[in-house]
Amino acid sequence: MIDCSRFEELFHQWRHGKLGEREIEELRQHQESCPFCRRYDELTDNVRFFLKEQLPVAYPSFRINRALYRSPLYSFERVGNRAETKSSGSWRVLGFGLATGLAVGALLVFFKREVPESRTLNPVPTAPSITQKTPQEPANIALKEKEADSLPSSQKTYPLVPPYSLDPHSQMVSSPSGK
Amino acid sequence: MESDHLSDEELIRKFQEGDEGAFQELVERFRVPLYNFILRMLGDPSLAEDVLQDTFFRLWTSRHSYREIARFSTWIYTIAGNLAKSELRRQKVRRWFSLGIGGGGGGQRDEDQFRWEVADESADIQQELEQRTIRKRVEEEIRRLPLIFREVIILRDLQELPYEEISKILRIPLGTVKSRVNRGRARLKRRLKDLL
Repeated sequence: MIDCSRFEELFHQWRHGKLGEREIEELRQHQESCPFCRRYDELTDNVRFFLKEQLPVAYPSFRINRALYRSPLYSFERVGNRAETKSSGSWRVLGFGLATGLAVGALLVFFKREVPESRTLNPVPTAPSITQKTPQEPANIALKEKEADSLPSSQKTYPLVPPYSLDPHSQMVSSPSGK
Repeated sequence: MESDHLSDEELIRKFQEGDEGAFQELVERFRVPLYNFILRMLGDPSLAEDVLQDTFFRLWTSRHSYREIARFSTWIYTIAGNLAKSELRRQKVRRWFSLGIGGGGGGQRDEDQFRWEVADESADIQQELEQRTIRKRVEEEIRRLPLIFREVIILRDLQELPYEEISKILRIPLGTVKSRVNRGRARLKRRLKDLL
């Protein structure tokens, strides 16, 4: 029994009237038993030979042949131009991208430094933030609390609680009931 | 030459034993079929030459890794196919990065594409131009095929390797090879309908 490769060869010969009775019978038997070759003629045979006809055998250039036949110690020096192709496109773009990135980064760093300096040169008067923490010695805080406790309730001060202040010791105001 | 009558497997064995003449005989036997295989995969003659050179370089450096469990041709085609696929992947990445810079030499590319073609001196210019146009179209249609169909079509229809060997080269089942060949041919038939 012939295989698919042989079938394709014989089929082409059959088409050109070059097959004997026995081979034609082999073809028929294979086609009956093989699902891939059953519709071979209808689907693909002409494509196969068209391709073969249109694309003749190509030969490598003289320089590559010379490189291959020389002693292998010398022959594997690069003779093609793939290296040039590589550097011409992607590396140039990558280099350009990298340089642009560095330039943008440098500009950002420069401006980040510049902004606070300009504020000190042209100060804008603003109200002090109530969230700004005033540094206080722990001893002072204890003393103030003690003084506040000794006052009569009408003069007592109460710390603001959030959302007025994030820090209970940052600002002391009179109690709303104390007026 | 004395090694003319030796099989590929005998030649690689001699080469493994240190006979450089056997290597040159293998180059002689495989340079044209491998070049055609790689060229049809990549579509660029100069790249195909590079990959061909890489293939023989691999043969030189990895000669001891060949074991006689497979045919030598299967082994060398597998190496060439893998290198060609790597090159295709590299090209894809390069194309993605290059944004067309340096790749605008369309005229040059056309020139390269036809560099290896043999001119038919007897045909008149008009006929030759038509022939070139058809050939270019066929090449383009082969290149447009998905890789899984392209490689089997090249190996079967242009290299004329048997199905069993293609199955071993690509490490896919025999039935898959046959069905891919049929599907690939059917696609080509559809696309080249006006030429067939």
